[in-house]
Amino acid sequence: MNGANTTTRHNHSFSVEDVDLVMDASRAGQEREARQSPPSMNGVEVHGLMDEHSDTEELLAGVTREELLQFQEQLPNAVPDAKVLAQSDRRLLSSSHSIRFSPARAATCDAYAQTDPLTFDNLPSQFAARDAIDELPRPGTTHGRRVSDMHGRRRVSEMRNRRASRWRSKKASIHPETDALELDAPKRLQARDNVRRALGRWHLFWYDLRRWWHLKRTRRRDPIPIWSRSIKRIEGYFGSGLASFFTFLRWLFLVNLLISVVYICLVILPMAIRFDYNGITESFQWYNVIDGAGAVGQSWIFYGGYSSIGGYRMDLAYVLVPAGLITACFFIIIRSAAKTSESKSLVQIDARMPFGIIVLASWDYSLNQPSGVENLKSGISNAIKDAIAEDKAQHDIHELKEADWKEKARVYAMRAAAWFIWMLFVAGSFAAIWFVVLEQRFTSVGNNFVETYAPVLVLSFINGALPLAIKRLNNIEHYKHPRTASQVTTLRVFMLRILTIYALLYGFFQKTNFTELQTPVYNGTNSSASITQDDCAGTVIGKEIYKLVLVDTLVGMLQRLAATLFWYFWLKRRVELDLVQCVLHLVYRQGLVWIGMSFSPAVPVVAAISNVRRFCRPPQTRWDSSKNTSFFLWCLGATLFFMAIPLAWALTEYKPNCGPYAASEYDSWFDAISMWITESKGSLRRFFSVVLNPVFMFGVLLLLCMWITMLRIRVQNVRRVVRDTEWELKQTREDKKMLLVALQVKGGRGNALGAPSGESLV
Amino acid sequence: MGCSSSQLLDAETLEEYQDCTFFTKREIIHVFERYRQLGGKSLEDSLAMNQVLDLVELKENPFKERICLVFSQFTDGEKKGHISFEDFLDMMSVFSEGATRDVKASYAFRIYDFDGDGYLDKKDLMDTIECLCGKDGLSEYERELVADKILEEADLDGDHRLSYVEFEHVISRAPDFVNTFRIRI
Repeated sequence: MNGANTTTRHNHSFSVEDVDLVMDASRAGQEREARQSPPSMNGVEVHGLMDEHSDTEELLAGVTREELLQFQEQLPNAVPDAKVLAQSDRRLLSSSHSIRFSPARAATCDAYAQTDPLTFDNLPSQFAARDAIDELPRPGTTHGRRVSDMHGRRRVSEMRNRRASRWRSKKASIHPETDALELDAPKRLQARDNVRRALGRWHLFWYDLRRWWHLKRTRRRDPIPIWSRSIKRIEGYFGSGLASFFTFLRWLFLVNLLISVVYICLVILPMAIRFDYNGITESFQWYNVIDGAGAVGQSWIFYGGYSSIGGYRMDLAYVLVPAGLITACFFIIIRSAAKTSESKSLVQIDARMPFGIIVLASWDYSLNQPSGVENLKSGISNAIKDAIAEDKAQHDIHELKEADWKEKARVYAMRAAAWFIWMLFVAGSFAAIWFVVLEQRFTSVGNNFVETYAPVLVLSFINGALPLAIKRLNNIEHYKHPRTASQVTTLRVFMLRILTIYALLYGFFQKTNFTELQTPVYNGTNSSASITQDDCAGTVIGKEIYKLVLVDTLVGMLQRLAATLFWYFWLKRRVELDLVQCVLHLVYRQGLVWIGMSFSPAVPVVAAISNVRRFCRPPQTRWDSSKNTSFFLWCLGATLFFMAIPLAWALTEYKPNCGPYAASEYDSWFDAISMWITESKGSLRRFFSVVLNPVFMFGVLLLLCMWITMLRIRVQNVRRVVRDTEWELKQTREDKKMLLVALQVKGGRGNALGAPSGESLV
Repeated sequence: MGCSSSQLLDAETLEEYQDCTFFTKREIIHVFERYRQLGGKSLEDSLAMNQVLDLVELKENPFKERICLVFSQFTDGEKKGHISFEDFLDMMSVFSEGATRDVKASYAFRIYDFDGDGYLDKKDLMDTIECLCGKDGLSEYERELVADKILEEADLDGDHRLSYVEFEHVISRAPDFVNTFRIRI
């Protein structure tokens, strides 16, 4: 009985989940033992596994498969080998190429083998072997190991019963030949055990809870629990690419919500309470909600509607809130981007063996919805196609490198031409935007539809149509790699969008400067400003951006609906969602929000509402969703950076004449802060005098620099360690490969390949 | 229902089943209920393959026939692919959350081993790809290309087929495998 127990233990100790060195080595050990302990071991000097192939082959000629199997039965005798194994494992790890068992060691081994098997349980060698196993580098998680450890503790004797043995024997006999290779997969199935059976109700609950927690911790998880179920469902049906898009959308929505809440609490509500509603001269019309004119234009929706109110420093709040929010957004984006490093996609692609992983390990057996299954199927076939394309692209890139100069010149000329065309697009859109902005009259009275919406529509058109044209540019460029092509397109569209926003702002600032709108017509201190609202530059910009966000959403929806219907009825197929374009669109909108929130505090609210979106066909290109999310976030970060520049310029350089600053004599919005500091009293004043002291500032700056330097050094160290570990892993893998080949040689198979690599081992 | 189930499954049998699976008694009874819903009457008799394939969790699986064949104790003859309750329980146990990685991997190997010779050769791989992608997902040429690529990547000993060790080697590169090779019942 104890013998059987040891068998399991032994089996168990060397049959952990991965094909690792341990398994290889244990197999080697069994093989060795196969030659030693039975009668066939008749004083033949065993030099080791690899160095003398003629010997081993000779030996193995006598050992049939039955004998090998018999050995597996007699495994208790193998236990002392564990010590040798442990040593050989270490040797293997440290110096990969010399596995030689000295005759002395073989003798020790034999001495062990003659001891009573019962005592082996307590021999330190076994523990040494276990320690050795624990020390081995092991890819993947430790979860499986822990569970199988638990299994190992149970007695096999309890499993001895009629049914179970019948069951087992049935399972054990499916691949006899594989078993002969000491794979003992079915043996491991025997050793598997039901840990949960012995547990009482509470223990079971506790165990399941722990397991659940462990799974939850190790598995992909959702940091934001809102709508996670819907997103999961989307992922199940449409793949992880789209799911990551929605994750991003949710993230954006939450950011907008945060901005909105802060704005509502600190800026909008105080104003809305104290607002002089009698100052609104126009009557309310519903369409004003969209064009931002009339009564809506005179209300606290826009910059011009704000004024200084008693008891609350509106001027201060109005500059501190956007500055604080933009800083906060920077931190949030950087944190989120750093977090999304792990891969989360449905179909995992490993760089070392992409095809094997896709085909053999990516099917999700838990899917039971037909559409989900269809989607995973198409996802997998696309992943395979991508992998083929990637494979081919690698070849093509080599080809291009070796191509003659004529071919090269042609390709590069085409690419230059494509960039030139892109520049033409940008120039054209600049011209269109400036024309529209500078020609437009800034009075809401008597404006017709075209004049009200011209800039907005032009911008929407530019953003709707030009990306499609830019995408076509790829056709003439002949990028060998589809990813490069997609990245170039992304870059172009992204830059186009940022540049159009810049053009728009530049146009507005120019316009407001040109027409000398800052003429001091404000006599009163409060809402008399509403009379001149239409002349207030901040309001003008605010209105435009407000319209832009709203109309952009509407136009986008209409355009998409039209395109979908058109494709559906014309070609009888659904239009494919272009994920990257959608993301860029969202990012662009977010840029508008950031720039617009200072001029119209209602913009974030509108954007948060308009983030609730639509559907069409899921994209067919597979994406690694982790790369996806961080890509989205980096786009967003870049946008925030580019938007912060004009905003900072506006905050510091722009001379305010209306809105919250109408009553004050500030040169810029930031003067509100400096005024506040100079006017502050008591401890606050002392605090500022310390903080703004140059010596103190210098100290802080120095500290920060030191900190950055320290972090850099640490990062470099970590990088070096990672590089070393990778190298070691690579070495281990190669050793494993050689061991495997050597084993196969010994098994009398793979002669062709075995011999040369056997030589390389010596 | 529960009453009659516990009549059919006496305590001793339950104990035995507990020993051989990753389930608790309660879960075994639940599995038995599901088995009876499919039309199974007692522990002794078996279900035809198409009866088992009605199971919601299996219905859409492209490997459903393979799963039945692998888990069926009838490897030949008229009852080939029939599933007895023990087979069914075994199947659910292997696909449960409790099953370890190597248990799952060894059954995955058998599922993909269409001709049952203990090796995944090119034909097996191409059949697997066809199941995964559907008939018109990939062309014959692409399937062959991919099968060759897989062999190129994973066949360490150069015999143009994957043994279980090599298969497991591939699987060990996919940390998500344990989570996806799972059927919740």
